[in-house]
Amino acid sequence: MSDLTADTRIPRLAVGCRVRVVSPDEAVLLVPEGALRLKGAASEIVGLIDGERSVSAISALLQQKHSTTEASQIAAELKQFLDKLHARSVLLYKNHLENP
Amino acid sequence: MSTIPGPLSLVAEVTHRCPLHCVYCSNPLQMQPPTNELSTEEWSRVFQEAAALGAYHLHLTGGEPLARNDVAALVAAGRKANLYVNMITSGLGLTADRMSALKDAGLEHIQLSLQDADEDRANEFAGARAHAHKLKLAALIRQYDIAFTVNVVVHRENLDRLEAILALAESLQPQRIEVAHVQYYGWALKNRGRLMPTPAQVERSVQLINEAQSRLSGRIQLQAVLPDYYARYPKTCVGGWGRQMMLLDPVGLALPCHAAAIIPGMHFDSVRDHSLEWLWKHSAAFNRFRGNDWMKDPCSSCDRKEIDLGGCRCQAFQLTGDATNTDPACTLSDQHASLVAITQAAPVNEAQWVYRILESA
Repeated sequence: MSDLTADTRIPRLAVGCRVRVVSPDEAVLLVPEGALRLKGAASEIVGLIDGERSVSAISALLQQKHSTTEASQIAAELKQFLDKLHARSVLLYKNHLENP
Repeated sequence: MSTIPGPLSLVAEVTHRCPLHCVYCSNPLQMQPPTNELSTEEWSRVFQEAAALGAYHLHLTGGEPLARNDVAALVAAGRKANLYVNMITSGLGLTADRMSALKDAGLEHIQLSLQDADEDRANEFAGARAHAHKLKLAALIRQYDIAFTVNVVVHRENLDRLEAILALAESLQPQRIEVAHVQYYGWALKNRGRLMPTPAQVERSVQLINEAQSRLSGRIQLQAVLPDYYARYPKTCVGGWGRQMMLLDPVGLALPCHAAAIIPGMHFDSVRDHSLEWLWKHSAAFNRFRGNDWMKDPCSSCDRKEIDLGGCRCQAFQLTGDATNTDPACTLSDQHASLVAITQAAPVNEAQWVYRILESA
């Protein structure tokens, strides 16, 4: 189970990455050598990454919006998605020293 | 045929002019003269059509795109079409003013090539005194909010310095480093005797790249293109013929890949005569090896045929004389042994370089 309530890291998209809205419920994240299709939750999460909100704030907003879904499930999905973007260097944490 | 998905990316070789003469250039041996290049307006129309077909990325390349005076206008036209705009450059011709104009035009990603960590050797491979200038550009590029990739092509004569090359690339502080082993088409094929690495060099390069990837993880994304001569199965070349990528040459001829012109009997149509949609869906060139109807055995009965898509057609032609043969990089090819023989061949270091020269037609 993922508890993100104490995760104060602030995610932002890396330089050269941007969201292109294709239709109201479809978007792609354009990165230097590729494109990630954003469906459903993924699209919603990327929309909340503004370089100001922390992971815990994003998690709280998602839980407010999806109050009928198990909080732990939302947190797990959020963590998995952020980790995936981070591994591809598409997402960085601006208040977090990656390689001391 | 009506359900053919559109291309994901458009590679625009906006000119074949280049101040460099790299011995492994991927441009064709027969290049297009400057006099007939597509105009700004023609490229702008093409970018709109590419976006309408579903393309996401525009790669401005050449030659050297900066050899055109209107490159900032081309970037702006790409962004206006809502494409993600990348420029691949040698850096020659990039000044502070032009960099600022490119940023204002909306450039999102810039790829700067390096030839070696050793200046003399780098200049030798490029056939131009370019190395020192390139190193100065990194600081200029980093002033802007633009994704920055350092590209390095590796081969027998620089692989023994791979550690130094990676360290130099890292010192330029890009977001990405791309290390690509030479692909043997065009000019590189002419110089294969000197460029083909030894199996020991390839093995060591894989190890060094793996180490660097873990060391740089989270800071710099390191991508590597390994030589398919050493692979077990062939590469899914350009994501499959007519599946993901369209390349336009400087005069607007539409090609399914960089090297397709070497295959005999190929005919390429132009954006000056047709829409991009027609070229993608209906032109003979894009349908020649689309799908898998063209395949023979062992490809046609292979359970990997939708994974590898038969490998590279140009390589199959170059090494076997028949573009419908299985790519000999595949261990299932009956000609794989002759490819292995090439990789084991004794070094031919005395051969003279054949430099990329754009001769006027």
